[in-house]
Amino acid sequence: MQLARPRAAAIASVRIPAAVTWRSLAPTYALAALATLAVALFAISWGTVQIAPQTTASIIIGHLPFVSTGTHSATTDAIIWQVRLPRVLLAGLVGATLGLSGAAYQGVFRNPLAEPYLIGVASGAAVGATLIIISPLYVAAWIFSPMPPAAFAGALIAVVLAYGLARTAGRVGATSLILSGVAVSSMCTSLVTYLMLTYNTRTLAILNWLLGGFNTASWAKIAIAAPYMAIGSLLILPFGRLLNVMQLEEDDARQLGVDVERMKLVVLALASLATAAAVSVSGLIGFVGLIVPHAVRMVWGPDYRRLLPLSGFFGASFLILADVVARSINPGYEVPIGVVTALVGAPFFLYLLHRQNGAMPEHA
Amino acid sequence: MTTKIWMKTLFACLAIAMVGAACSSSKTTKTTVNDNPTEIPVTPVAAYPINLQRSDGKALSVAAAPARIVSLSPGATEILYAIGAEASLAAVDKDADVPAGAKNFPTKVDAFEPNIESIVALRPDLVIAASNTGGIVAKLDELKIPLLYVDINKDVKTIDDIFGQITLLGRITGKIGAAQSLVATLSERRSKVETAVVGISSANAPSVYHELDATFFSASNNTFIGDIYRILHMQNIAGDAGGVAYPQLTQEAIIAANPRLIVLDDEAFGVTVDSVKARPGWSAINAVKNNMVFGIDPNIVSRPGPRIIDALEAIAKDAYPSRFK
Repeated sequence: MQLARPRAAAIASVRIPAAVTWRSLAPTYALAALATLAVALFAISWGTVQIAPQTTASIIIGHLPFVSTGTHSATTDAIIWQVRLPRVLLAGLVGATLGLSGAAYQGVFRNPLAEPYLIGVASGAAVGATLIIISPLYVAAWIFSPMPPAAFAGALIAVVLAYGLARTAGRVGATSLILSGVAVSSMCTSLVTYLMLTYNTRTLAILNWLLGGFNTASWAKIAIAAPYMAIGSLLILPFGRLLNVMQLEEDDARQLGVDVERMKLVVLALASLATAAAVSVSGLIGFVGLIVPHAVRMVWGPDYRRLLPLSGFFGASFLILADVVARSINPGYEVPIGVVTALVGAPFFLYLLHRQNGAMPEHA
Repeated sequence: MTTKIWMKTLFACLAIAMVGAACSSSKTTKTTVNDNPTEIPVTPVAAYPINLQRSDGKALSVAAAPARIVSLSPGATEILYAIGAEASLAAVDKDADVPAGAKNFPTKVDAFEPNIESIVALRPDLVIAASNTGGIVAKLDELKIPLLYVDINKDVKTIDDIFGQITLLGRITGKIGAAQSLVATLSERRSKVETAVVGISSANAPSVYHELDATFFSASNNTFIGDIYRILHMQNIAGDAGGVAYPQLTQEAIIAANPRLIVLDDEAFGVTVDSVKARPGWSAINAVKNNMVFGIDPNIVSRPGPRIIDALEAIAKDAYPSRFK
C-alpha cells in the first residue's frame, strides 16, 4: 500500500520553505478562521424553519451570560439554541477533527490514501456502539447515553490492538500498521454485521448509528466529545515541522535526528483520540478525512505547518455545509450526511487521482 | 394498562379464532342459507384456482388450499390465526409472538435474513413474504416455490389494505367465512371510532408526531399508520414526504410543527415519555407542555394484522380522552 518513490524525488518533493514563521502564517489562519465563522453563521441562520438573521443573532446573544435581548417565542428559541446551534457547532468540530486527523494520518503513513478511519477507529467505535444498542443499557435518552463512551472505548481498543499487532522488535512499520489496521477493521466489521443480523429488532438503530449524522446533536454531546477533539487536534498542530521531515524516507528522517517511532506513536495517538471522540457522537462520516487534506494541499502546498490547521478549518466548513445540504435539500426531512459527503467527495477524489496520475507518473 | 390491551387482544383473538373454527366446516359442505341472514353471513365456497398479482407484478396461481404455509410476515401469521387457518402453517417467523400459538410455534424461520435452505427443507406449498428481504423473492421463484408477496411499503398503505389482506388469506386458505366475519367485526370497531370523532374539523384537528425511532424516523400519510391519523382527523406532521413511506424528519421541523400529540412507537428501544419530555428544546412543544406524549405497543401499530384496530382505538383514546370514556 505504501507508494515507493525514488529517494531523490522524495527529498525534492518536500520543498520545505525556508522561513515559515507564526507571523507569516497568521494572515492565512485569520482568513481561514473568518471563512469558517462566516460558513457557521450562514448555517445557523439557514434551515427548514425560516428565522430572520437578526432574530437568530438576538437569541444567541441573549443566551450569553449577563445579556438580555428581550423574550422570544419558546419555539424559535428552542430551534435556534437547542437544535440548530449545537448541530452546526458539532458538525464544525467533527469536520475540523476529521480534516486535521486525516492530514496527520497521511503525514505519518506518507500515503495519500490514508484517512482517520484507516487503522480501526471507525470499526472499533461501531463495535462499541453496537454492543450498547443491543444491550439493556440502550436507553435512547439523551444526556447520559452510554453510547459515546462505549464507541470511544471501542475505537481506542481497536487502534491499540492494530498498533500492538503491527509492532515488531520495537518498531512499527507504516505498511504493517496499515495491514494490521485493515485486519482489525475487517474483524470488527464482521462482528457488527453479525450482531446486527442476530439482534434484528435493533437493526434500524445500528444502521442509523453507522450512517452517522447530526440530527440528534445537542449541547450534551458537544460537552462529552469536544474536550477530546480539542485536546487531540490542538496538540497535533505543533508537529507540522516534524511531519515535514517525516516525508523523507524514514531512514533519512532518523539521520536528521527525528525519533520516528515515538513521533508516529504520539501523532497517531492524538489523531485517534480526537477521531474516536468525533465518531462517538456523529457516527461514521466518510470522505471528509480523506479529501479535505488533499484539497488544502492543492491550494496551499504540502507544508504540514499550514496543512494541519487549514485542514481543520476547511474540514469544519465542509462538514457544516454538507450538513446544511443534508437537512435542507428536502425541507423538513433528512438525507444521510454520509450520502452528501460521498456524493461530493467521490467525484472530487476521482478528479484528484486523475490529476495526480497525470502529474506524477511514478504513482500510476 | 399494557396488560389490559394485551388481555383484550388475546380475548379478541380467541373470540375470532373460535368464530373461525365454527365457520371452517363450511369448506366441505354446501352453503347453508340461514333463516336470519343478518346474524350469520352467507358463506361462499372457496373457488380454486385463485389468480393473483404480487407486489412485483408477477402472477401467482393458487391451485388448492395450501397445507404447508411458511409465513415470513408476523402480520400474516396473526391473520392466519385469527381466521382459524393456523393448521395450514408449517413455520412462522421468529418475531411472531401473537397469539400464544404463534409464539410457541415449534418451527420458526428467520424472516430478517431468510435462510433459503431451511425454508426449502420445510417443503412449503406457499410462502408468505411482506418484503423482499435478502432477495428472497428471486430465490423462491428460482426454486418454483409458490410465493405470496404483498409488499408492506408498497401495497399495504391503509387499514382497508389490511382488510384486503385478511380477505385474501381467507380465500387462499378456504376460510372465507371466518375472514369475512373478522373484517366485519374490525370494520364495525373502526366505524365506532369514526362515529366518536365526528365533528372534529380540520381546523381544530390536533397535529401528531409518530416517532419510530430516536433519530426521528416517522410514518408518512402513505402508510397504514398514517391512515390511523387520517381516520382520527389528525394532521400527521410527517405529511406526504414525497411518497416516502417512512421518512426521517429534521428535529427543528418537529419543534416548529409543534404537534399537540406525540405517539412513541419506539419504547422497545428505550425511549420513554420522560426521556422525550427531557429532550433539549422539546419543552416548547405543545404535546410536551400538555402531557400529550404516549407510548404505543409497536407490534400492534406497525404490523399489518387484525390488531391494527387495537392501535386505532388506543391512539383515539389518548388523543380524545373526552370522546372515549
